[in-house]
Amino acid sequence: MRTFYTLTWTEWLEAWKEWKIVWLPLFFIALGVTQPLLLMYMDVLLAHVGSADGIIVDPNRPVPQSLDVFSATIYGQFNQLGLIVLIMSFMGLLASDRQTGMQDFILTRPVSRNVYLLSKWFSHGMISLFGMLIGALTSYCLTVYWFGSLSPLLALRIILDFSLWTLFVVSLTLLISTFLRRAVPIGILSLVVSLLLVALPSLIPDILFFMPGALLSLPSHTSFFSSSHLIGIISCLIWILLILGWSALRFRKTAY
Amino acid sequence: MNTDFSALSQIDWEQFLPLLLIYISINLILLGCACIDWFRRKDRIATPTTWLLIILLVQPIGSILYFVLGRRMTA
Repeated sequence: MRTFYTLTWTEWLEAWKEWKIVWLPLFFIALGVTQPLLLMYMDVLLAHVGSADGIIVDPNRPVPQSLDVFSATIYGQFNQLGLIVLIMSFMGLLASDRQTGMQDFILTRPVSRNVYLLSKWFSHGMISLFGMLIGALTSYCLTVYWFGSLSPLLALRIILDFSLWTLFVVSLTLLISTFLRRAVPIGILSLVVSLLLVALPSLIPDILFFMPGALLSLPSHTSFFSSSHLIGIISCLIWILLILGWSALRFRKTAY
Repeated sequence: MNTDFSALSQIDWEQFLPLLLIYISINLILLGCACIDWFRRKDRIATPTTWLLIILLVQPIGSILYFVLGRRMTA
């Protein structure tokens, strides 16, 4: 337990020295602000920016609801550009340690390999969640300010789903890191796999309801305690545990 | 290029301004962090001038690219 605490603390310290604690929340705040801003000022932007004469927005169109705006922020912005930057930020979680020789240094001490992996997963997951939550909170406040009230429980459910998905992506990157050696291929492969895992369940939701990405393709007004949502959460947790177990097995076999 | 600057006066600045300030300040903080870090490490980065140009010119993403990629590419 003490080694776990020390290793996790070291990761946070390193994130602080790399300015990750600063730029990750800032980036997510910028992402979270973008969607409400674009929807709010669509008319003004179309009328005044660029040479878009003749384009009009249907004046009878339904006013965007706050739930739609918020879920578009999380499922659209956060899950596309946000996911790319998140994976870029932690794709070197094992690879950089391996390249600097830090892994040899740590693993020749009395540190269990499982504890080492778990501390990597926990600390990078928490750093990513920290940035993501700050961005989501900003987006929620702005959405409520401009588009009317939104039930905090629904917003919390959407944020919770995305947090689980983020944790899954961290464990996926950890698993891929045990197969590949260099950081950039790890990042690209985990990005491709996670995008596939989001795309496939949204194409065939009836069959692939147990995939982790299925959480993100639920309709945005699903309540927390509906059965489809509970099944999604439980299957996502099981997937995270399975992938962590698999990477622990892989990591035990490889000799460093 | 749009040279019709009268459009700027038609925008509802009163609602726009707080948000614009948020955006500009986020960008400035990012830019400042990246510049400070670049200045400290400019002898160790592989191609420092290129990265400074990227930070300054590719405004929203450039500094993040520097933090993720540039500062690890040591000479």
